[in-house]
Amino acid sequence: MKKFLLAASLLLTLTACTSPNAGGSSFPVKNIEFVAPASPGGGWDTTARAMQKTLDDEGIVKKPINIVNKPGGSGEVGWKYLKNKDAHTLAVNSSLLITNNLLGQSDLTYDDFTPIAILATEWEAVVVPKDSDIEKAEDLMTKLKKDPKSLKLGVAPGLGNDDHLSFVQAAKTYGVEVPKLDFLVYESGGDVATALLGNHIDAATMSVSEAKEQYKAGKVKILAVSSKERLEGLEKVPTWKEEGVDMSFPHWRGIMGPPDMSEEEIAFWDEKISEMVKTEAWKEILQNNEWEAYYKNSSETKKFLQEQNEMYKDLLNDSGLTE
Amino acid sequence: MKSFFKVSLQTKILGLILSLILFVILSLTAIFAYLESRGTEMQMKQLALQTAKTISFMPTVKKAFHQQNPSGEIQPIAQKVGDQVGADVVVVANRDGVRYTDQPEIGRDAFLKYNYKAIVFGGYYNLETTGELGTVWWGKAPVIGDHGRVIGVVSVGFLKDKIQSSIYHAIVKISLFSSIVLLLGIGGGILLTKSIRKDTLGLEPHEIASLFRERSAILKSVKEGIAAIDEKGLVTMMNASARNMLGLSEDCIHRPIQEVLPHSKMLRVLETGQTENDQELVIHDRVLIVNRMPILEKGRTVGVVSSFRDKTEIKEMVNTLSEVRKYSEDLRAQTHEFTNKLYVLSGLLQLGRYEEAIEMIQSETERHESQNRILFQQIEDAKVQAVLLGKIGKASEKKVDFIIDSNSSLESLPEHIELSQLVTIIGNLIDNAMEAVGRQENGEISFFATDVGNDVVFEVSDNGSGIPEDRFNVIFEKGFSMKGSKNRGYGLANVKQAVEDLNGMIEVNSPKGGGAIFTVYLPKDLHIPL
Repeated sequence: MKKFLLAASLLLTLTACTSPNAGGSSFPVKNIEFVAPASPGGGWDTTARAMQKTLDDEGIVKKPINIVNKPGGSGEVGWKYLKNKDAHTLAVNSSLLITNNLLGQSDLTYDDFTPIAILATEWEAVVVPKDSDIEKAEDLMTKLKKDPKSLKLGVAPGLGNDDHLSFVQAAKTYGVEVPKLDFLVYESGGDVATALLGNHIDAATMSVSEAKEQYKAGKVKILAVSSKERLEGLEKVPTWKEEGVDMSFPHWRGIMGPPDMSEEEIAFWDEKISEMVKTEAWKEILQNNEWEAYYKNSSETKKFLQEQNEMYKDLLNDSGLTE
Repeated sequence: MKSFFKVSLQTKILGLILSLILFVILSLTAIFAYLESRGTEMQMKQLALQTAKTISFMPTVKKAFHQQNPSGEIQPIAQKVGDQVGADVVVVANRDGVRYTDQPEIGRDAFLKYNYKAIVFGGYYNLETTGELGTVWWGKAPVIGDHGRVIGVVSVGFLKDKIQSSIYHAIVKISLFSSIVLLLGIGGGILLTKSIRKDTLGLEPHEIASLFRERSAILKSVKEGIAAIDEKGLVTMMNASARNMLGLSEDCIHRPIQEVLPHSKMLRVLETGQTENDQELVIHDRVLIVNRMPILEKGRTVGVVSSFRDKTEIKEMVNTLSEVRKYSEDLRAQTHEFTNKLYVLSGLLQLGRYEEAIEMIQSETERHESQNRILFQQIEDAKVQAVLLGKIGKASEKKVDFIIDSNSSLESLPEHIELSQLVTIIGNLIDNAMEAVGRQENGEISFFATDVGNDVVFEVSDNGSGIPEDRFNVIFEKGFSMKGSKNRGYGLANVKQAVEDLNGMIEVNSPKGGGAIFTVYLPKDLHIPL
């Protein structure tokens, strides 16, 4: 009996001690960190900084937010970093989280983290240097169909990402012998642009936001975009469909937290991010980057990631070659 | 069906042991085979993938792709690494499907198809194909050249058949060991049976069971109390009679005898091994006659059996017998008295003193008539009449006045009141009264009986010295006697017992002026208690 009382009182003291922390009403208790698993300048980095700016400027999150760049391994370095952090650290993600695992390049997958939100989609673009003799996407495809090895193609940061997949999908649809395409892989979107400008590669596939900068500077031509309709600000650029390739390919970006986040912490971010995506500042950022609003809260995101995993599994395994 | 269950102990035990061992061996083997094949598959696939990765990362291999004769460099490496890990197939091919290793032919298109994920997306993955070689588990890894270009694919394969045959061999080996275990099991079973049969004196279980049932029935049927203890002095058996006599409940089994019966001498027999007969033992106010006998096994005492009877019961029987005898003696006394009177008459007549003789006959007759009138007309029950007649004789011999109250009236008693009980109750009460007045002049006893109402009432009073009030409680206890001598105190206790057997009640009253009145109430209907 005495022992029991002792244990009970101990338990009471313990619960009493831990309950204020477990309550979580005070979250966040320290500075917040957003991980961009790439070097500055790419799509992930831009997304992280846009969120930081909006949440901070609009006063949605009171604690300071820091951006940490962790490039390498097609996002794996940054995500591995996130895995051992607490709920004060979030990381930007995209379909690479799924495809890296499907291609056996990473043990990490979407299941290892806490889904927080899908923020936006953007579209993929195919670009060639300004002085290239290829004027139209159709020309490019015809040339590749004739000889798949005739052109050097650039992609970053790894094979199997959406930039790459969208081009492979388009080529496959057009009837190009995909396994023979000559892809060169670069560390980041910036590197691809540099290679393109230095004529090391003949064409590159990248996100519209990345292409637009060079395009506005008059350094590259955009042959096609993967959207269903022409994009605002790029009215002269045709869609793949217009170029005789019947496909569209969205590229989504989202944000996730470390594994085992509490419900309060998830609820905190659901509230803050849903507030953020409604602000004018965020809408302006979307427009400037040619992104499309595509907000999904944590529970919708969880379901979405499962669906995407199945979709990419099919895409990667479908060689297009008959048995 | 019955004959199936009555197989011999040996067959039964061997059968059970064998089927148990067989069941365990078979299920363990099946589980082993399942886990082993699952585990091996996982392991082999992982090994295939890792080996493919290792080869694909080798700078020599990468460099060789750009040389004149890549096979010259790649073939020995692939061969060596493949042999090291025990892979059955190692294929290094460029992205067009041209092979740099001399391995069995696999269709080029099919190969390209299998390499698609590696070539196009740079993927690392496992694959299972079925072809001329049979089922092959593949690990695929792209060879990445300059600028992250995919320049070729390394494929490492393990033949499923070969792995399965190694698992099969393992199972054969297990079966071999299992049969040794099985043989050991049979040996153990035989030894076990022998040992059990030794313990059971060679009896089969069903024989033991029927012996046990018989023993229980016997123990239940005897009136004697029987108890047994084992070597350690724990109670192993006690029949219902024993429990009743000792006032114990059923849970005394397996408890130490000292706890159950602190006075028991069974432990002494356990020590000495000597049989003890007809010993007297007082437990709970009862005198028991006990026989104790050691249980011997190979000359060693392994327990004690004790049987006992209630001495009180025996005594009661003896008492009743003596009551009846006394009753007949009483009658003889009366006859003797009568003979005496006849002698007096005969003397008077011989002396010619006729008047005195006539006077004597008249007074005798008168006395007899008044007594007999009450006795024969008012007390109609023959059993009571008989008892009273005897007592009248005895009283007359002892020169005690015995008066039957003229208000007495009694019809035939209900059948459940037996003669022996009447003798015990009335006889004892009157005898006690006679004892009480025996030592004084003009002693007088009166008897009254009535059956008006629901009860039969007997009242015996005397004008003796009475009973001190503080002894009212003890006079009915066994062993108590006002007469002071040993073993005579059963009279009133027996009366009380007989009265209680008839659901009746006894009262005693001793007025200040001396004398004692005992009143007995017996219900006419046994089932309606007072």
